[in-house]
Amino acid sequence: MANNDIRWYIRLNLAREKDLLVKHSDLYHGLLIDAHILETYPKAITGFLFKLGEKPFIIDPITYKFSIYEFVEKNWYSKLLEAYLEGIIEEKECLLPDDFTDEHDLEIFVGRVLRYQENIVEEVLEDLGLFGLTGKLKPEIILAPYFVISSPRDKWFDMNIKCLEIAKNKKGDSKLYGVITLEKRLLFNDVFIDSVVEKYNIEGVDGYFVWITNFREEVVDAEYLKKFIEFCRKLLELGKPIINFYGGFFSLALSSLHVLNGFTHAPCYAEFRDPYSEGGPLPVRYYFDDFHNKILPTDAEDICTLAEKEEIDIGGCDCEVCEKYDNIGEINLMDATEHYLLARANELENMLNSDPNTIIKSNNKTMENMKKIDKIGKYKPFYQHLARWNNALVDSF
Amino acid sequence: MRERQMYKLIGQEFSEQYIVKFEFPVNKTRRHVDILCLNKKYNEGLSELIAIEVKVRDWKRVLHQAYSHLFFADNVYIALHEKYIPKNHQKCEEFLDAVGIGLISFNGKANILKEPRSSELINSIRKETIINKIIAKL
Repeated sequence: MANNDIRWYIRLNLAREKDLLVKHSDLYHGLLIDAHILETYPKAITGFLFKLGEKPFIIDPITYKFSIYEFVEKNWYSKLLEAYLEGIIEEKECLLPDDFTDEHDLEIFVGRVLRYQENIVEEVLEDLGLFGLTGKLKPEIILAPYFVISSPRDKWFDMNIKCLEIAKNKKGDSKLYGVITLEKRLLFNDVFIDSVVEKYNIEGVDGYFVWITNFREEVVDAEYLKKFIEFCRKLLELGKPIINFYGGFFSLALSSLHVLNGFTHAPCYAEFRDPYSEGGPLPVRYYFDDFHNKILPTDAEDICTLAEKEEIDIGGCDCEVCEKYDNIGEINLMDATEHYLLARANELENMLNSDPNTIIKSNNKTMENMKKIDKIGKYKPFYQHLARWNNALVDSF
Repeated sequence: MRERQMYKLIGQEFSEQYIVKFEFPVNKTRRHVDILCLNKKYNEGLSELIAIEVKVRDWKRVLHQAYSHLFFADNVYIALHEKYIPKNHQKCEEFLDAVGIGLISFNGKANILKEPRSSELINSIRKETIINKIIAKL
């Protein structure tokens, strides 16, 4: 069952994920759907939401992609550009903050982005002749337009604030969240971070998503993790929910420790996001529970073999998916995805009433056990982040 | 000297008793094995598999690569150019001893410096699949 104290959202990106998300709809709080995915597969996505019934969902308007050149050739680009900016800005390859010189045009843009999120699903359903849930399929939360802030003097910073100020006056009955998107090195600029917290403190905004770009929780060093915790704590002082836009187990842990109120990722990927990357085909990766990290299935199998031989308690998942396999090295992509969802749900349940020491102890145990079986350190890259996580937790709590 | 140039000459050391394959893929996600040898008497129950991972230099890296082969090969070696075997190779020996991997040095000719221990980590299904793959390609 979904842990209602921690809001776990799943990003839906691929049509093949739908069935799994319906099957396990009781595990997570809600869905997050990128607007460009909706534009690419409108019938499939809206039909899926119709099937799920009243599961909370959010449309990510992905306005930041219009400030990045890489996406201009995509099919969805012109559709969304038309929905948000027709008659305001001539079609161009890359938006700049200075393109919004007219306040009135900016108001129209913000209004359109909000109305798009509120109405698009029902509009498509009406086209499909599915009227049963009209009026009920509204997003749980709407997001103000947002763009990536890459430096303290980045003009997108002021533009984001302006958009949020306008959005709060246009939100109507909807809950409105801001999306704070920063490049990760900015976490170390304390003066700038304080100004971010100050400027985003806008009455009428109901909460915030935080996106630190390219923030791979299992790769960044402990100092980044500590700064992230510090930043989230400052934001929490605003008295509103703070949710990580792209996060994994570390964000789950922070949510259980009341530093965040939730986190978001796709099934078995997108625990971090580089805004400038187009993404690509997914290799099969197996979520290894003890490491809270994804590794090659064959490596997972080898580690389990080593652990079994030494009678060490590592690996060996008994979820309904893994039980089907004699040889987890052979797991296919969809089963690996389903295993990931089940493993994450299990972690969430175990995190109820957790404290930093419990998490630290568990990580230490894993590292000790691995030392016993990983005689040449071959598998260290898969679990050495646990030491960094512990370092950050020890210093922050 | 490049790695691939070493394969054939190292393989010759095993070719009398074994069927020798180069750059043999062992499954979809794993990289191939540089040299894979199947005992020619596999039909008579001697289904011994030997895996050899070859590098000109960088013993640590080749050891990590070879380690994965312990899960299907009875005996595993690493092979390095003679020039790049650590002079004071105590640390290298310690690691090899810890995991039971053998060592071959190469300088125009292969020379077995250390025999491996039989692997205790073999996944019999995986080994059988690989043997069947080798036989299918004969």
